[in-house]
Amino acid sequence: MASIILENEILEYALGFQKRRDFISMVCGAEYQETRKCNRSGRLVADANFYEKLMTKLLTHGKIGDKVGNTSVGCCAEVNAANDIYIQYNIALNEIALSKAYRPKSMQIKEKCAICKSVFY
Amino acid sequence: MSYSIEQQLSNDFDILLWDGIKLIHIATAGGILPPKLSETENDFKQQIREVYRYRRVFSIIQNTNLERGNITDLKNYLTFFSYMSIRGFYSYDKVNIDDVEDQTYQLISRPNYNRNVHIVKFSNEIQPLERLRYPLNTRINLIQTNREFPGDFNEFNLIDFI
Repeated sequence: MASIILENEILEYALGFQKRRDFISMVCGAEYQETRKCNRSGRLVADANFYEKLMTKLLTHGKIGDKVGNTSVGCCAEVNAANDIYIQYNIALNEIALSKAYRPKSMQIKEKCAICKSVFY
Repeated sequence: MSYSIEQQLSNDFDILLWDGIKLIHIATAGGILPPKLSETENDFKQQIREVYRYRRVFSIIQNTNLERGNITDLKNYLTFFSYMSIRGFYSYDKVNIDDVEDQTYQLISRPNYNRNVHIVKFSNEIQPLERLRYPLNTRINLIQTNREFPGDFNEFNLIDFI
């Protein structure tokens, strides 16, 4: 479960997109111990820069960028935020905590997709 | 320009349409777009920036009877849709943001009267012209719908109108 600090940080992060009217679909935060990262949806991570365990797990669902179910593999805000943590720590995928995911335009909360549930929980 | 699936899923596009009567804005919420919208040459992000420059001259009517369990703050939710309506657009949102394939949309906010727009058609572009005190910026290209969009607050399937 994410800390209140991370939940507050992701709210601020989402509101920043809203104020700039930079409307990406989702933002989400990830944390491990005292390290917290917020990131957005999109294909932001080059294949070579994915944490190896994360890449391996994602590839069991499909190629990076392919649409599977309700998402593009490896393009969720959760994946981008978590990868920012993993590149600092060699930990198991489920050792991080994820914040709620927000849609910046409306500040609605979005459910985690099936792939993220499989990878992070 | 056309929009890849990854771009459609990663962005909450604002798309400007014309149904023959009213100016329309739809927010895609990272959903899959019908081919007519995904294969357009329009740069959605550039187009919406043109609308930001419009004068805020319309009183609006908001849909406050929304059955969405994921709204954290109704006032915040309505802000951007109202922002479009005070500029003369009927503003619609995707109803189910957790299902990218679902094409159900709903009117969220509308001006209290239709903006009086004269449309100029070019080869495959539609541009609005207006001889009013606060004219529309003619650098936006509106995508023509197949049918008149609902003016009420009931949910509808976008595919039936595009």
